[in-house]
Amino acid sequence: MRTSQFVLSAEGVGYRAGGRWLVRDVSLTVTPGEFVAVIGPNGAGKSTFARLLAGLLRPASGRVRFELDGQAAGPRAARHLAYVPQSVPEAAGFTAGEMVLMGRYPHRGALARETREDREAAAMAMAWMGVLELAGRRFATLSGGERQRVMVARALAQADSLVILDEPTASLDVRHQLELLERLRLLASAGMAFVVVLHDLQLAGRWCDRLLLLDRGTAAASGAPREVLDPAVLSRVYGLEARVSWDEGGACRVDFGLRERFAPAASPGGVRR
Amino acid sequence: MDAKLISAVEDPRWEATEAQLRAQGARRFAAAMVALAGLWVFAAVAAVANGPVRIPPGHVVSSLASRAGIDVGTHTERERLVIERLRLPRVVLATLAGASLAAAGATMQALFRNPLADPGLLGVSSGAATGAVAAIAAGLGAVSMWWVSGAAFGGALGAVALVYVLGSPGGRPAPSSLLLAGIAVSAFLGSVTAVIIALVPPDEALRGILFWLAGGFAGASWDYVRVAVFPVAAGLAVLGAAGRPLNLLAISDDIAATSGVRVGRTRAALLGATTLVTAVSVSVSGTIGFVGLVVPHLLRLVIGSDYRYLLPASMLAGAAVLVGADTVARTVVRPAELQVGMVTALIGAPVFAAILLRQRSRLAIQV
Repeated sequence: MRTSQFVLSAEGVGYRAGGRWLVRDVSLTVTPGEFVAVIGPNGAGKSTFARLLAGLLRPASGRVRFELDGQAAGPRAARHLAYVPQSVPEAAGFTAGEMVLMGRYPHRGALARETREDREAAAMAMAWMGVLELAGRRFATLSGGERQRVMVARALAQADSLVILDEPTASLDVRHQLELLERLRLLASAGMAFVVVLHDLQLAGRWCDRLLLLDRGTAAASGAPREVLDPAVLSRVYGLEARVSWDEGGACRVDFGLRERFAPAASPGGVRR
Repeated sequence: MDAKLISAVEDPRWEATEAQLRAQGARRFAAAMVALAGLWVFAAVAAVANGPVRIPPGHVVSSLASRAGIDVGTHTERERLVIERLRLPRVVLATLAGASLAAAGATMQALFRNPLADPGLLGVSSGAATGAVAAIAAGLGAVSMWWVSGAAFGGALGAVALVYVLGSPGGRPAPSSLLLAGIAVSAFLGSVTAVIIALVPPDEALRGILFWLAGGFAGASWDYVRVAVFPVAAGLAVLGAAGRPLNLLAISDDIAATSGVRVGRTRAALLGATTLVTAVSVSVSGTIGFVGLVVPHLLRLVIGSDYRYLLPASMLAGAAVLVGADTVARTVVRPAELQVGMVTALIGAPVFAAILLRQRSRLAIQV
């Protein structure tokens, strides 16, 4: 499916807003075939980091590079790297099919019309996300979950290498969550790569092959799921007692419990504000 | 994606969807453009034929054709003069203004992701009104209408510049801040205009002010056309070619940016083009409401929201609507003349209300 080798790398990336560091000194390298989850509590900087990776924010320190065949991707990056935002305003009056077809814009000249190849790519991406029957529906009339799947299809129609998804499972039911991750997993095994912001640690542990755990803007842990989803690390980051168990199929179960309620100051990494 | 992945989905219906995507939009657009062009021609001929001197449509065609050296039918010399000196410049000016206002309205609605956005959102209309009213109150209207138009143009650009500065916290223009700054500046200039009107003695100047504020093409001449045509054509060319970035910006800045659009530059260029065409239109015709708001919404119901189609269609439809409205304004209460701004508001407001009611079932627009 892809013709070129690619690397997305963030080196010591930081971002400041409102006088404080939202992301500080975080590094990550993504290569073909990888499925990386960015996890962490609320306010840890997951979305900010995803936006830095997507090139939507300019890092205050460090740098983000997207290379194709060893060279900076430049203006053609949009053909290979796409971004799926957490939510999309419903104001646009477009149909779902039009939205997905717009993913093909970076592949054509400014005033050119879509070709059959573009429509096929869009239709295949819609088939892939199970949203073919929504093609003629207005985007604004779709449910939250349907919109999210259409937006993923849009990104798959656009980019053939790497897609960064910010909380793609947020408004999906259990079945669609599993289907989405399974399909991304399959695409990754075919040579694409994904960076996914996830809240659900169990989904991350089950489906992704690398996790980046952020805590107050910095990388608390990074590596294989079994290393990162370590009870001691999770306890420290989330300020909760954590138990982690794995079954033979690779499924992961994380249980959290509140600590001693009346002695928050006693533990160094105690419940944070 | 390769065949293996497709078979993994096991959904052969994607081919049907490919056909469906092909059918969406383009065919309706072509039909709509032909219909709108016909509507504009009809409105233009009706506009030239009707007035204090009624000219048979055959004579209109004959007169226009004779200019091109083609001899069809007959017309009198007097008819030719009425057509060429009085009515044709008026039709051309209404065409330019209508195309400008409708295209600017559609662009604003995309850029601000707000279905209520209209060309005056950034203070163009209120700035032009303040400038024109001040010029008329100062007696410049009696000297030459050019003073009034020039003051209107200056006021329009000045107001937008102010809105742009106020709406750029930290030096970067932000849509929500621009919107709020536009409301604040428009409200302020509206009261300045009101104060000027209150201070003007109730005489000729006041009548001139009210006349200008209602918007109209009564003073249309080829001189006005010559001044307006180049900036309007340049601005409309920019907007007409901006369908793709507008589609993306209408969804979200993030989607646009990760699709290769330079969001900041593109938005600035498009706001500049809308400001230019709106300011020129308002300067030559006064403030004409509802065309920029209603025409794009009406078209969305027919051809959908794709701005590559919506913008050219809006230009044509806006032109036809304003030429038609001007003809109604000129002829409906003969021998008096209504202002075209009154007609667009009288027709536009109920039409807009009807669209809002329809929205409940169609969801063509969302507030």
